[in-house]
Amino acid sequence: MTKHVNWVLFRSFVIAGTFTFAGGLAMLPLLQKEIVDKHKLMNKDEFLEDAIMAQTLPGIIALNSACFVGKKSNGISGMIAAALGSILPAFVFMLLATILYAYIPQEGPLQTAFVGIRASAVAFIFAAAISIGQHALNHKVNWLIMILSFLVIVVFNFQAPYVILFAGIFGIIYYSYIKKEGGKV
Amino acid sequence: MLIQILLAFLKVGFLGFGGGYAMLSMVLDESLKLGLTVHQFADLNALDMLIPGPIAINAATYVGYLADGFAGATVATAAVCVPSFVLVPLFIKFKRTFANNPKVNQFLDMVKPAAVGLVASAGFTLFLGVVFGVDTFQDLLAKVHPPDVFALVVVIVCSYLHIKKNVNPILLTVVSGIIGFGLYYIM
Repeated sequence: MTKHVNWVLFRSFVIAGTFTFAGGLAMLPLLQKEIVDKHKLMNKDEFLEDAIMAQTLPGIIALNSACFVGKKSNGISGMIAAALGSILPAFVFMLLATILYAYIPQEGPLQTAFVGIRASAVAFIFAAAISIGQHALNHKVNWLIMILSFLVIVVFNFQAPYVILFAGIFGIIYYSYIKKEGGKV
Repeated sequence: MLIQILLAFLKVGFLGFGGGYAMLSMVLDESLKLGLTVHQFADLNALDMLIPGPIAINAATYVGYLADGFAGATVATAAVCVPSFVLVPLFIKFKRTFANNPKVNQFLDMVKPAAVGLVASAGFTLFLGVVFGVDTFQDLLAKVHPPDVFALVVVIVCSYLHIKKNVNPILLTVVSGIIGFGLYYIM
């Protein structure tokens, strides 16, 4: 039975990881169908609660989900089965793509083709910032933190990890001493 | 080199709040330190769209491979995954203490807007590299760099079509590439 559960976990996460292109959240419905509806490894509420927690912890959201679901369904072995399932497709496909990419000679028309491709990537990163911002920027202090983070990185070459730590520590100070009504998530 | 890759991606994983794109801005930092160029980083974003899977795993595999081959790719991917293996079991065990601690929520509440700033700064750095051919904002101010007009037009048109008109990013990437390819023969 435990063997079977691990196989179900591994397979579900391989399928979800292979067919989702738009990041972790896009694979939730597919996973829910496999894990909750079909194989009944956990109930729907628990599954969704874990999905939210997976976003709160640092690290890869999809992998956090896999660890939650795997650990709760079948202990440490389940966690490893689910995690491997969620890592493998991305690793294998990306490795092949990178090897191919490293072989492409960037000369002549391919060089200008790459200029176009890179420029389009810039647009999608800006779009990502806007879409994350729609959820995260709900009052003035948040805007200030966002703008400061941007400026210290761009103008003063601050490293991103320090910005994250400073912002978090500021959050604790701000809600503890300046605006005493507790943080909300 | 492998140790450097290991440490870089452990850092990205443990401080990777706010999802793939926020982590990507840290990956940009680290990949420049590992000897990659801004252009290689921009290509990562294009490949990432064509390849399924979480952004951070794709990024670790790509950066690791370009920095130190197959071993580099494996080490980087394993490192970026470590936080989940450590933190999720801990979280399940200490759930009550963790979820009820206001400090945790206060910390995360300000990390979110900072993550937006991070993503925007990664976009801006990429913009400088692709359009002006410079690595940092200081380089841009140091002397006059004529912009690459084609790249600038692609950035503006793709931003408009994707953000305002919701056009599929893969389609826009492919079309931008084809136009760039054709431009070589026109110019």
